[in-house]
Amino acid sequence: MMPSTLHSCRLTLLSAIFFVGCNQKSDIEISTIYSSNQCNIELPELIAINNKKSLKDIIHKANKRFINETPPKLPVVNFDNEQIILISLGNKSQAGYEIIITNNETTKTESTLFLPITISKPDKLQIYAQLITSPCKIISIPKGDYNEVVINNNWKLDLNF
Amino acid sequence: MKKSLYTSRYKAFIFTITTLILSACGGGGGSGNPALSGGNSFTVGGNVSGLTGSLTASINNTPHTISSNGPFTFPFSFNNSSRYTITISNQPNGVLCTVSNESGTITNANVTSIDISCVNNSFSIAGTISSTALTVVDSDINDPLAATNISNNLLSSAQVINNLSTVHGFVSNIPTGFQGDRFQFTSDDADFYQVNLQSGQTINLQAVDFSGNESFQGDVSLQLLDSAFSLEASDTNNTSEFKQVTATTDGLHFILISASSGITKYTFKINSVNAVSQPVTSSVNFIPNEIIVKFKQGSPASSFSSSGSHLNFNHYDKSRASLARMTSENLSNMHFNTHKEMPAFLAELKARNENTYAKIMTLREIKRLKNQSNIEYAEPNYIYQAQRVPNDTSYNLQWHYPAINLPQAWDITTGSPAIGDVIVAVIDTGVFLAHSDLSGKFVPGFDFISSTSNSNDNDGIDNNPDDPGDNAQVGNSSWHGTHVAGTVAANSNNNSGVAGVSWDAKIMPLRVLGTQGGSSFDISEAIRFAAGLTNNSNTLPTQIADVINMSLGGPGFSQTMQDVITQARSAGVIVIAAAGNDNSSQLFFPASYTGVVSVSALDFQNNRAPYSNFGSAIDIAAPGGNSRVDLTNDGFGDGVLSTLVNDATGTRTSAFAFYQGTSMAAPHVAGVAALMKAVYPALTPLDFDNALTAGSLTNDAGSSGRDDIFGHGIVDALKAVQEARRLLNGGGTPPAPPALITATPTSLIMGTQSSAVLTLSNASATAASITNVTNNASWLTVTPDTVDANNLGTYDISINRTGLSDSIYNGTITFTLSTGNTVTVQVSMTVGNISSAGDLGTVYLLLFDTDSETVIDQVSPASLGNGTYSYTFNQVPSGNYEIVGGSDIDNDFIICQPGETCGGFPSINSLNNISVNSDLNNLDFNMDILSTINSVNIPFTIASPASIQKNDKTSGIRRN
Repeated sequence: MMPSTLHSCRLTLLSAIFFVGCNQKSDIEISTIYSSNQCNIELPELIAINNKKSLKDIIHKANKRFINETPPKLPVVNFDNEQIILISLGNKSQAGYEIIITNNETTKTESTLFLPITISKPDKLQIYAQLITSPCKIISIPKGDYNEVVINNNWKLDLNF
Repeated sequence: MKKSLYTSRYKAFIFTITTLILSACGGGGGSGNPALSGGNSFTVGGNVSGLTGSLTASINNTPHTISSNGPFTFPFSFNNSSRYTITISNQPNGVLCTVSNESGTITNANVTSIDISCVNNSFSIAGTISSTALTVVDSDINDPLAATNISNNLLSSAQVINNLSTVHGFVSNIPTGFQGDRFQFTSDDADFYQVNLQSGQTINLQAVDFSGNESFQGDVSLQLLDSAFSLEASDTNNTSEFKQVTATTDGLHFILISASSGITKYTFKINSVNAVSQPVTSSVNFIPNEIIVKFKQGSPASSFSSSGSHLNFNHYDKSRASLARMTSENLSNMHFNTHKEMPAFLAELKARNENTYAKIMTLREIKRLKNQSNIEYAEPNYIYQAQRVPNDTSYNLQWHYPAINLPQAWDITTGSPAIGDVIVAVIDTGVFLAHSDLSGKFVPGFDFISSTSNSNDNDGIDNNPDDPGDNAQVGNSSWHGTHVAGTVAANSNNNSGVAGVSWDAKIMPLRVLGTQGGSSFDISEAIRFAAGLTNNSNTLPTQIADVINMSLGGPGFSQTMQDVITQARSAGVIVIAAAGNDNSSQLFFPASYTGVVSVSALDFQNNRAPYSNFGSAIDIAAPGGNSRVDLTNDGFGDGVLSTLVNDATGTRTSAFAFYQGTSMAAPHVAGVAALMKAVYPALTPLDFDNALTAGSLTNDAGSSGRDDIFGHGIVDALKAVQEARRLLNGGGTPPAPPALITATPTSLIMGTQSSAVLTLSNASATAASITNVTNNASWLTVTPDTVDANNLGTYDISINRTGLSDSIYNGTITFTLSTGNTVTVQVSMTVGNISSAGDLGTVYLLLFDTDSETVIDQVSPASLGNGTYSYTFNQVPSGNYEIVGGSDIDNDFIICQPGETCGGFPSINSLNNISVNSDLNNLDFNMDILSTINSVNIPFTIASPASIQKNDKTSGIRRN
């Protein structure tokens, strides 16, 4: 038993050393500060929102489909400490698309933060409402030593750009 | 029958002849001696004084005529002791003779003491008659002694009247045939009256002899023409003596009263706009020379041909209405006068406005057909052109409704059937049942989502179709079913929110789409429920759906769903579905199932929306919106506005929002189908399909005929409901309405004003401009005030009265358009004081002796002007009398009939006995038109003493 256990421990230690040096998992709070399936953003976008005006514009644009409705209150955001990110899927042909935060566990490599956010698509075997949707989600994550964010495994946002 | 049997003049004649005969015989008396019997003979005599004319003095009942003053002796001898008695009779008119010592006994001497003393006993009775203000008499009536005889049979000779007048007149379709009548040998086919009316003024008419009198029976048609001689309103009903029309425009009008049959008097009253009388909307918007005719079931086979050789029917099936067209070449065989000549007024109308002529001929023909016993009904083939716009506060943002001619369709129907409800099943995410603009619009539905992981309401199928949201995240639910339901049938015209396509349809909410979409099975069960088929809810609706809307879909084919759709169609349900938003020609379901109407989406410019599917399965196109652009310039993307939910606070609240998609297009077609069902409840899915493929529900777009983008074309709600009417009636298809430049107001009645503002605007999508402005009155000036590049906008109107005499003046402003058409605005104004005095026409005033119960004299009052007349009866013996008078416009020698003027002293309702012992003056009274059209206070029958001679059948008094 000692050798296998020792082997496992060595593996674990090596892994730990590796991950400490390459991929680091950690729980960070991912907050949704705004979400809608009618954001009225035509194209897919993954952008950083760095000021209050931009945030306001996006939320108000999403509510423009309503008539005679007061736009919702803006969420309180500390742009110094929080990284605000807009995830927009753009126009979709039907309902059934979703931006899902699966959990709070992020993975970080050197300067890239992998967020546990996936894009759910309609089930091809199901039937959906035939209205044009434009799902979007605005999230808040703590600022940190990363300059790139990835969602859905391959959708990257370069925060320096 | 009409002539007097006995007159005072006749009586005088007989008396004269008798007197002459008696004079020739030696002074009167007979050959007999009243008391001579031999023996001593004595005479009786005396003196006459004051006699003018002659009288009869009888002694012992033996008459003797005395014709001069002075001594007289009866030419008889009497024995001594004979008794004698003297009486006086046959005194001259206006003289009263008395006898003294009229009885006694002969006492051996002649009697010379008989004293006959006569005094003047004739008096005069005088007074004035006033006519009720604004009473008018037709300028050509049947009375040959009428003060006025000016033909008003043509537009060009229309009789000018005040716009609050009460008129009595006479028309005849045939000559009267009575000797002495003005219209003994000719007809009086029509009377025209020219009048300035205000929009909303109602004209009430009574065809007085509709039920007949001893001389005449007839009926009339009442029509109103505007200043361009276009038919503005008409009442040609043949079931009542009362007719009514209402002016719909301001300005110069022509009232046409034409004899449709027989001979009749008429009265009409023009009511002010504030009158209690309820305005009548009588449509004259119909296709000339076309009549919808329904023969009675069981009527003989020859009915079609017997109705008239001038009618061509489109089919001969008596189980439904036929469309009859009148052929111009046979119009001369129609019901003109007995000489088969076109009456002059119709010939003139034809020359001035052929459309009006054709419409009037059509109405006359309809009236004739209605009188045939084998006709169930006959009616015009109406055209509905007005655009009914709901007053929902956000309707102005719903560009997608005018885009499919819904306002015009709403003028025909807003979706309310004659019986019951039209139900549209919305198979969707459910509906927010508490939405403020959907209140009261639901029939019971069901929630068919069977998977609790999909339902978002913690249960499987249940009877609650309320939409809890199709996303667990607040703010992320689509509320799609609510939006679709609002397009189908939101509460409309309720001063709030938005309008729906069918204002009155009911919604059957059936929930099938949850957080993960919907399954074929669940949707199939919902279809079964809607169609009244057995389903896994174990319930059935009280009334099955008329239409199913499915704004949902996916790429997979389901035989289960195809089968249930086929069954639903067999149950009579029309199934509509969205074509899909993949910008693809790939088949999409359920839209592509056989029997489903597949709807593609259009943008504001009627182009295919960028997302809309296309291809071989597309049946029809409707607005689905394109929110990328704001071509409507209303500040919003060009989506479809409908009811929605706002749950940003975590609580659902009623809201309204724009969405785009073929989901939004489909309910437009579903709503239109619901409108059709309201008009024609028997509409089947096959009827709908046939009409669709025939192009009867759409406007062709894209390639001619059917194509893969628009299917059979863009849905047109007006054409659709017209098609429904055609299916209901089996008639022809009315044309689409034209566009208009309109003036507001449409005419100017300026009275004594000197300025006004006129606004010219374009009420259509067809561009046009004003190229020229002219007017035909020197006192009228028109100046552009604020106008756009098309010269549309406001114009200043000013009046200059300098040098004009007192009168009502009319002028016309003409706006010439770039289309070649013109818009005219009539202007009328008044200079000075215009009289409103009444006119009684020729009046016959009778002096009725209540003691002898005879009419002893008759006079015609003289006009003093200003609606007053003076009269005098001369040499009226003392006695008791009544005075009654009236016109006799039909010359039947009976006055005070309905439709004629009538009056009496002091009131026709309460005649006073006039005791004449001296000259009497100021016996004044009023005279008015007898009618039951609320214009006069005189009752239909005169509450006169029984002593006045009356006609047996009707009220009235015989005149000389």
